[in-house]
Amino acid sequence: MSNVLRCLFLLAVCCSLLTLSVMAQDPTPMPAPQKLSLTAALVLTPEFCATVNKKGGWANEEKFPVGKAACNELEPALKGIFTTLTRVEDSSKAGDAQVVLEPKFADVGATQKAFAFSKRELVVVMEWTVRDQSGKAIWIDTVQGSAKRHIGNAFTHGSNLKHIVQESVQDMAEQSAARISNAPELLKLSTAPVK
Amino acid sequence: MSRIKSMTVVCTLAVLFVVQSGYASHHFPEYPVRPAGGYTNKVTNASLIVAVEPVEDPQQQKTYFNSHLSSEGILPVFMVIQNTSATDTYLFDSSAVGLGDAPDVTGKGARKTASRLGSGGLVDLTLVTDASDVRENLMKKQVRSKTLSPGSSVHGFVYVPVPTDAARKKVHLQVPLTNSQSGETEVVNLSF
Repeated sequence: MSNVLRCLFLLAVCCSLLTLSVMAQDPTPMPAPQKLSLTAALVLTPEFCATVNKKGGWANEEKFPVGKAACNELEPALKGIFTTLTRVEDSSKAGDAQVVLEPKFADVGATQKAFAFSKRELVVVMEWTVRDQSGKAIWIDTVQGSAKRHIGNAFTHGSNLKHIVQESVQDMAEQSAARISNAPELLKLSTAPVK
Repeated sequence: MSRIKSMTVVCTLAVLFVVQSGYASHHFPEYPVRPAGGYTNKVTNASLIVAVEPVEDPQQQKTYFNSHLSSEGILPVFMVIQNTSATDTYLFDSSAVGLGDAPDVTGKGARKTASRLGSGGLVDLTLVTDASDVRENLMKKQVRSKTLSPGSSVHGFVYVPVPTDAARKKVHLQVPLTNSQSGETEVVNLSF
């Protein structure tokens, strides 16, 4: 076998291993969301919507506008699991909602890779507090949403960054809906689950 | 002959390129978790069991974090909280976990570690802005806020600042848990 063939064979083996390592990282499936017979208020403060996470040093700083994406994604994702869902800017404006949903960014993690075609991951960690009408916390949980994308080159980096933020936040929103709608404490509060 | 040599160099570089990309997406294994009652260092408070296991072995730190964290002034401590009650629900707020004493930060990199401490004296990863696999893995393995329904549990790491130039002192960890029905908060104290 010539040197060239040996090298090509080695490259093929490396590529296969890479593909397998990516395939092995499938996330655990979440239970499907179910409907709660509760009225809810979703608190999305202007500060929350303006959250921009910064990663890297002064020379390679990247900004991830996760707040803007979350404020676009959360309401539609959660609307289907409550009888009614009202978006408010402050918990004091929750009115007569039976439960008040307060999201908070716990952390954002991003990896950095050296090459344009290398896949990087963005993880958005969201902490949820659900309060009853008296303001008492009745349920808290933390949800991680993630997405993977190529870093991209000088021309595609901006677009790829926008997409990875969108996809990780969307994943977080979908997981939040599943987790909230399956919470035993909220199911108990819900008078009768509506199918 | 020279053509073969140059081809070999090109191929070697290409292989290194691909291998480097693969290495960059390092796989971090999950830390093994047992029922809270199975740990040596645990406290049972009414229907709650809180257990901790400091990961001090450099080899284990390398395995689960791909980094020798102690040499960077960070001791990963695995925590398991189990609610054994059949009726009561507890709220665990991870941001309320803290040290009972002032953090002990000395040695090389002490200033950097001190700048990364949260209000409870633990390392606050949100103050670490690296975009690295190691930082992301620390974040994913961190213990998170959760509602502990009857029979459920939560587990994950807290990151305790330790000196890099001397043996660490005893760590006193405080873990508040709130009974969701009564609203009363119990603080579980652990030393290790």
